[in-house]
Amino acid sequence: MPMISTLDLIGSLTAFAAALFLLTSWRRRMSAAEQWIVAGICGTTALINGLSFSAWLGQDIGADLTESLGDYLQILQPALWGMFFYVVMQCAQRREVEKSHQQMRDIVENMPVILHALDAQGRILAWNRHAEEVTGYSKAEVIGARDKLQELFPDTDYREQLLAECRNGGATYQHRIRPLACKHNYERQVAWYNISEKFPIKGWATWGIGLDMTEQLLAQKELEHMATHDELTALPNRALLRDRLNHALADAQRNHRRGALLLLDLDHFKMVNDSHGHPVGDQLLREIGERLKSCVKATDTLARLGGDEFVILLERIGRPEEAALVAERILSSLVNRPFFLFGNEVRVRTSIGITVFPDDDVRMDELMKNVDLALYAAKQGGRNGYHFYSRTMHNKLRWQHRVSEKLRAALESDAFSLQYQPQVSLRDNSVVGVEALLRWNAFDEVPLSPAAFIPIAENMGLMPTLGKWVLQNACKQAALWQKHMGKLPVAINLSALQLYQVNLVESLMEMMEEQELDPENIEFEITESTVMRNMDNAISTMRRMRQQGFHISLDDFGTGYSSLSYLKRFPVSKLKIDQSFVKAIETDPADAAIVRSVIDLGHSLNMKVLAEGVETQGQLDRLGNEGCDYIQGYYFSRPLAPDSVEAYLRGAVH
Amino acid sequence: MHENELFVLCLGTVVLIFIGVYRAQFSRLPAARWLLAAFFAVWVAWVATVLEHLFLPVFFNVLEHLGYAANGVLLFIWCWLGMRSGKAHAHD
Repeated sequence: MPMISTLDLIGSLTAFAAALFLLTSWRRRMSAAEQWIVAGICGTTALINGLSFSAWLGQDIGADLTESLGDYLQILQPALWGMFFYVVMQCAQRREVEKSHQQMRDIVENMPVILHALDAQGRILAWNRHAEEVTGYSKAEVIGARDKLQELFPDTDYREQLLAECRNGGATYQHRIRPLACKHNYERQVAWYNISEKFPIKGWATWGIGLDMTEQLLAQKELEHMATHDELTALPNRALLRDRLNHALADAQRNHRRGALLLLDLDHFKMVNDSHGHPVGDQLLREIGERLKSCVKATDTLARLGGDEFVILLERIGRPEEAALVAERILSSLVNRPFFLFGNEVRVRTSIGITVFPDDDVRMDELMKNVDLALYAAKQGGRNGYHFYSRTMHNKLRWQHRVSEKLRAALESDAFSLQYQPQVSLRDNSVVGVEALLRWNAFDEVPLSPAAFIPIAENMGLMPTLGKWVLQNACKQAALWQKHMGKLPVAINLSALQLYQVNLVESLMEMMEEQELDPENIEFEITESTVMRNMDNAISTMRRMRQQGFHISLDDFGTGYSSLSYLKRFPVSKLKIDQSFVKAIETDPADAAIVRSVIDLGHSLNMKVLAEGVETQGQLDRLGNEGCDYIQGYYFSRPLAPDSVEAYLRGAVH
Repeated sequence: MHENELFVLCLGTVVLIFIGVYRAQFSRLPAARWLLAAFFAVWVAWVATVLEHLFLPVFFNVLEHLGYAANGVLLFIWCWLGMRSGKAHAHD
């Protein structure tokens, strides 16, 4: 049958060709086993077809042999096919596993964390690329090297723990930050997660991944430092000071120790900034910080609260005097040596408040308030010194604080009033004028003396407003009296700020015009000390005031430091003897002599003389005998409301 | 009918079932369809060898030889395609 023979021939030849292909060209694409098996398949196919074809050709090699060979080949063929597919499947599975391992190796190699694996003896078996980059040690230097572990992990405890894990295969999924020694003698801080017997690579007793935390730790440290330190001076800030003060207070109470808190504030620091600029101011603060450091022990805390305020916490002192010694050391260090900043010589003065704990208080906030009060007292005491906190000072300053709070509110709510005290001529008991006196019912309608609240108003910078208010209201009242009662001069106290105001005379004249008031009806009382601040300027202003018709009297005469040589230059028409001399005129010959001298002096300089604070007939008689011109005091009248003044004037003079 | 022919058919059928179960693994072989077709051709030849003793002897005899020839041809095509195919990197 030629068709069958043709088929046999085709099958035989193609199968033979396929076997040749497999054994030549496919060599690199299949495993040896697969290659030989499939070649066997092709071979048996070729032989089976070949035997069949040879039978047709009549080239029989023997019927028995052909038949038995054919039988074997036929059985061999499905066996080979089965074997081939089985091997292919096995290879595919093995390839999958290998691929998976390779992927794992690639991940390990390329992951952005340090990976190391150790064998049971603590030798390094794996060291990935990131580990190389971080440490500078290559795989060749690390893998298998003896004692490398010791070199890489300087922390002995951690190293021992690692070795124990290698020996025991104990898993520790513990997060630990430990140093990793790198090439060229530098260290990185690494967060380690060590794991044992979990990685499917043979021989790994333990392995660990490490995250380089150096930058994060530095950043964290930086953040912590920023949160607890002042940016400009790098000194501890308020937050850290509070923390340390808290500990110091607890320690002082627990161990019966004593500590101190010093608050330091530069006097007129703003002037440094204004005159030299902020860079110089900043540099000054830095250098002050350095000098202050040299004045305290390393265990003490020097902090900057902000601006020009520094605090020193002396955690352990034996006696309060030790705090005073530190304060003196600071004053000496800062005040005696000028600072040379960017070519400028800067001198500073400083005030220091001191509070001692637990003596003064054991509560942190109270201590901070105390030291603030002590500083305030130091500044009030003339600056450039130190002052200890005391309970008396505390009460006084608290009271001042209360007054200051009420004072501002009083100005806003127009709670002040003026009272007028008559000034009486001794010659004919006639009222020659009244002095306007400021009254303020600060606490539950209880009047507060101007002597008590005027200094506070001055400190608060309220005097210009308050002085203006007094001036306006007194002039208004004087104008009313001028209109209805004729001439009644009103004496008004003029503060230093008002006297040295640039356009004082112009504004006064403007006010006179507004009120249609004759300047002759206004007398300004100026104290000696006010005039003496800037005598030439004061005299010039006073002369201009006189030219405009205002009267001027010198208040509290004898209490200040006026020079008699200057007195003759003052355009003053009246001297007012201070009530402190009048008070004891009957009993103290010295006071009587002073009063007599002042009266004589005033008369000699062609001035009238008024005595304040006259309360008794005896005082009145003595003053009359000495030739005093005018009297003011309770003897004639206490300060009166405007309506009462009018009634007083209408009535008989005492 | 020779026993060995029946045995070959059984063996071949087991292999065929095996291929069916694990076909996903074999699909990764280069030009796998041609290889599987070659096996199927030889399996048809084994079936025909058995059946020619039962009925239609001439037809199944021709089918038997056709199967063997197709087996050879398909093996050749598989080898040839596999060699040419750039993707053919079965187990390197």
